[in-house]
Amino acid sequence: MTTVSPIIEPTRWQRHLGFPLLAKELAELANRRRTYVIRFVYAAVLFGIGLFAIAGGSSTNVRLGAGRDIFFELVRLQFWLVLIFLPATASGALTMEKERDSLALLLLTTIPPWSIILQKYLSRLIPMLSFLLLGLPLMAAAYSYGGVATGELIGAIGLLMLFAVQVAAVALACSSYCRTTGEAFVLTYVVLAVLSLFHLSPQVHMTLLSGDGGAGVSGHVAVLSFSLILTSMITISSLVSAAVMLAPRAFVPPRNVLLQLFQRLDAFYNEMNHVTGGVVLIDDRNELPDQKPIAWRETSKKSLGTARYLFRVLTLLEVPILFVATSVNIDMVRDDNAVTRLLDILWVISAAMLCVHASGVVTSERSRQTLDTLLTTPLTGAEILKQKMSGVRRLIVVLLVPFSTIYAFQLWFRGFNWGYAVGAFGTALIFLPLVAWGALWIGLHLQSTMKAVLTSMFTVLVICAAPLVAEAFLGRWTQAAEWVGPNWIGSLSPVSIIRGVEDRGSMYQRMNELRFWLLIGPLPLYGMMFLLIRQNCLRNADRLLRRVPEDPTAPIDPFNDTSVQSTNVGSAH
Amino acid sequence: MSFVQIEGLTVNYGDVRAVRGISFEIPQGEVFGFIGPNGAGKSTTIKVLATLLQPDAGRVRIAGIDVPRHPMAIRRRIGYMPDFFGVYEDLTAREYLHFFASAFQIPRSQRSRTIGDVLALTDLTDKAEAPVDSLSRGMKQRLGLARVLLHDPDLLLLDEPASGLDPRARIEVRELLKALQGMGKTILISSHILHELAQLCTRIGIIEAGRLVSAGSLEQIYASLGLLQVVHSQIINLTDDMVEKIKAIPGVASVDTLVDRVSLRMRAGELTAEDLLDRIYALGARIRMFQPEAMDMETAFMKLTEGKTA
Repeated sequence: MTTVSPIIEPTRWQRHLGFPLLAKELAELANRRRTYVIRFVYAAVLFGIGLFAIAGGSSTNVRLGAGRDIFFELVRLQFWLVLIFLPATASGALTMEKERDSLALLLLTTIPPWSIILQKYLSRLIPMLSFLLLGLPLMAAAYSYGGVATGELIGAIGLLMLFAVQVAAVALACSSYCRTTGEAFVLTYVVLAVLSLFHLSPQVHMTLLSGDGGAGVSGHVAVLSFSLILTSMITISSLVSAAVMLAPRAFVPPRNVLLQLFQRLDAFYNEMNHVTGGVVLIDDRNELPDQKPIAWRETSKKSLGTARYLFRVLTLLEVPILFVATSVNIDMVRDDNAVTRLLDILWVISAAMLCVHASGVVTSERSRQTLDTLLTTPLTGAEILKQKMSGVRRLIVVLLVPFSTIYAFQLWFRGFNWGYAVGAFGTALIFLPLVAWGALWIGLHLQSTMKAVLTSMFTVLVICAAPLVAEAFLGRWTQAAEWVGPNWIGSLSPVSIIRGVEDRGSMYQRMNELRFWLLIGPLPLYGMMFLLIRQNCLRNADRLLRRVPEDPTAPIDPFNDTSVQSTNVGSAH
Repeated sequence: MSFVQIEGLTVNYGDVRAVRGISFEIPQGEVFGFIGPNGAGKSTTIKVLATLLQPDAGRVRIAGIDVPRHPMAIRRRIGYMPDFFGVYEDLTAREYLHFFASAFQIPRSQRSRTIGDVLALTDLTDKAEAPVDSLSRGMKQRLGLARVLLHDPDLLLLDEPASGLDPRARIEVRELLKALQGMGKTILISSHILHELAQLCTRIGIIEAGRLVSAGSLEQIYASLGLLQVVHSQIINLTDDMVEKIKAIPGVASVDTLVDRVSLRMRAGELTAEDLLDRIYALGARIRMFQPEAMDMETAFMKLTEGKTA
């Protein structure tokens, strides 16, 4: 006879504090390759820059007493790393469950919502805190050079941890509210940007830490107390909202948020039309597709492809530019650099929009399982990609308008010169399509839209920053060796080219002609890079889209193909 | 010559051998049912035919055209419906069909008529202007079938077309497939709902762990396995003597007398239901009911497979 072992009911405390979900999450994170990639990238960036700050260039004697500067550089770097890495991992904590349809199962367990939130929260916070531990040896090294008070060391570690605690809580609240990881990721940064206006920004923390916060704030105990109160308020309110929203927002259907926003605006404008007498600025004709069905859908059904919606994006970008340009013109703003700053912002916004749109054109079809049906149509792979990019092409054209406005204003305000005109329009005409096709190429290689968007943005960041960092590194080492540094490496960065062109605009008579052309010399290289990426995408479209490519050696008439198929036709997939 | 010819097809996903040298043929106008447990290699085989996967070895031909060498010519002749497929939620049903009509390069002048026809065939005319997102799962499945019919393909590749549907939607899809069969389409259909395949398919292929374990008509498969077909009958004047006479009919394996009926088991291949009816009638039986049970495909499936995956 078999004996049945009695079921041991867990106690109330065991049920609530057993944290089975946390154990599962940590085990899952440990099994994922991505965890180690993120840890490596974090450590590489931290130690790369940290060691450069500590050991680069000047001799040890010179650096004695400079520990304070190095220390604050390290702390600032870690604040930014928390801000970059933590939302990426924490914003998907609950949305990934929603995307996998597994949140319902979780809610059916005996784990109460607040415990689910707490365990999810800890599962994302613990790895981040372990990342922060990586910085301790570097901070200790900086401390050893002198100039750092013990209180500052403790305060920095405390503030970094408090900052991580807040960011993770905000990201989790966004994850609880949103349906997809992409939405949660974007919303996290929007909320953090709003909070940064009041308290939650690396800059505010640094100010508090370095004691420059004003007369009322002095001493690290006061700093920590102040930060602790605000942190507790933000963290607790975020976690409570996450727990409250968990069940009601568990089954919301996926929706295109931008499209929804535009549609609500449509409804508002339609209502307003009764007042204004039915004025229609851009009338989107609802025609059926003719020869290019994919292009038709991309340009008439998508939020960032439809003429009417793109006009709104254009208005949103163009109005501040016209306002600032007019202010500069009428001498309200006594600095034409204000327009240059707007140009910088425009570049960031444009690159982000193109990364999001272009990297998602294929991955969104994959994740919605609509790609296979498209791939069995007689459209060629290159044709599918070209049509898919038609919406992105429209977006580029729209983005070129504010760029042209800025360049035209600069040419008019500073005086016309060919160098600036060629360089300025050249950068826009080359970098915008390059970002778009580069993001498409990345999207073709990845399965998930979120991964494609993040990888595209990260790639743009690396291409912009890597030459500058390399130049700074090599420059400092060669300076120590009394050798002229390789300044040309930094000029490979698109940032240097764009800045160089703007400097040319403002210092027309002063900048050496040869130096200017050398500065924008790498631009044709980027042009070639764009052409190569585009050609690679189109030439290998079938393979990248994952379908059988046409055999170039096969006869044109398939009915007269008498060749015997070999028993091993190769593996192209 | 068969319309679909597969010879020694092998497909690997890295180290995993998904399909291991399977061979079968589908004559034109036949409905071929592809049966197998999850992970057996059904969808992989269908994807090779749909030009989505390159085979590692073997020969695959449709209408005499080599599939891996001429994928574009094949795409014009097939209609493929994957097991899971999404729809563009930003389109209406009509726009969705116009989208694919354009992708299949159907002349613009013919599109409206063709789309009207396929909508009528799939009973979706009333839903033509409804957003695709608002359709029920069964309607989406029918819309998927309407899509694959747009360019009038010779071969339909349907991967689990009835999966996840409620009974009514399943019957609707089955009736639609019967109509397509009547139109002379060659159909390759994979399904887990075995008795539905038994009603629809003229030939069956059973696949397990990437190998084809049996292929042929249902009768051939049952005969090869020595399976019995059950017939339920109500005979008004049934006597013990008559029961003995029925048992003596060649091909009858057993006769079980139940309260309200007799259950007759006959060996497939030796005797058909029609012949059995004639023979019992000839014995002087007054028959109130005579109901052959659909062939027991579950038994055949369980007997032929062991639940392995590739």
